[in-house]
Amino acid sequence: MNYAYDLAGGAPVIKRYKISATHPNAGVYSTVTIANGTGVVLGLATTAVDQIGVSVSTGTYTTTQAADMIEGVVDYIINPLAVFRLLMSGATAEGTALGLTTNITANTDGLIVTKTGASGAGDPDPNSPTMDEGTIACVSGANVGQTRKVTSVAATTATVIVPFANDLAVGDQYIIVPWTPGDTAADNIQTTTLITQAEQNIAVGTGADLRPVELGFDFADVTSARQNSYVYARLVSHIHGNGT
Amino acid sequence: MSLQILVPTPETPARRLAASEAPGRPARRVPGGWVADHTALGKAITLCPWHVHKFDPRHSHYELWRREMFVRAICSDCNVFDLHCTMFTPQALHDEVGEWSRPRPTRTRRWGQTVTRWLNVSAPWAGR
Repeated sequence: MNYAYDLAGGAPVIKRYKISATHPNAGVYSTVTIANGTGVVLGLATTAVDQIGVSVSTGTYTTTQAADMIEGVVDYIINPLAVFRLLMSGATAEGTALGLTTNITANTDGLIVTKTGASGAGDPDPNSPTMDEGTIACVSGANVGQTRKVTSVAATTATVIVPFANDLAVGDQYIIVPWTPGDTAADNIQTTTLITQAEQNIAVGTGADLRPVELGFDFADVTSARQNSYVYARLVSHIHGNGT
Repeated sequence: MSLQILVPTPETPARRLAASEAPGRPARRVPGGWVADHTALGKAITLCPWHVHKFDPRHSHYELWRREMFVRAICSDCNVFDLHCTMFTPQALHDEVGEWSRPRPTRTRRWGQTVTRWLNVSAPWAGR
């Protein structure tokens, strides 16, 4: 995840901390040192309490004594109101294209997207993992570029209240993500294995305490939308913030 | 014999974090060697306006962190906290922490080399 901006508009504050395990990747968040620990702890994909910031360097941890030993340290952006930019990934592996939902049933009121395939087959089921309260973005068809909040889901359908501007045609393609900025339900982010990106294929509300601030879909074409869309998020269990 | 009463300091996450902060450059280390060691390790280099001109990021395979003009950090050279530090990060970490609105500079072809030179120039406001 890359630093995007600060909600308060201030400059990033960089601090260097000792680490308690090797941090092989930069652009990941860490949490505070545990009691009797040796340094800050690499964040987890699913949970995060007492975050300290996002790293801008890597570090190797060692407990082996040597005359030329180098203590493991990593640099962090520690602003509690910093917003970071995470690439959306379709699976736990980094860089996986986002799951695509192709509408199979025409809809003249612009409210119901029906996935291709029966429940458990074809496109991802909107209700497993549940995308209720997430966001649906149209990436091909007459409504390309439009996003709506998902308000209910079933095994093969995702329903919105505010209709898409145009009728939903067979073959229109959508991306459904489990995040809605400003929503209290769709408010956590589960990261990918390396803690660098945001996993799409999880139930709404699942994941670490990263609060979505905005979504950025690349609507240039379907491929771009699946591989180059971002969620902007803030660390909300930040040690320098006011808690969750 | 006097009586000593030990009053333990409450251990809080904030105190544990503060205790984890890495010290800056030791008093006996010269700044150049200290910065060189950290560039070899791939650490972020933060330099105050007085010392930013001493660092050649291209030579060290570093690039200017352009996301923000200034960062607040301890100068890697003089060890003083400054509100107007300039940060440099390893070119190898461009995708993870670098300026994401600019593509990773390529070293191939004519324009790629031009972009590489452009990205690696030091802070223009430092009077270089």
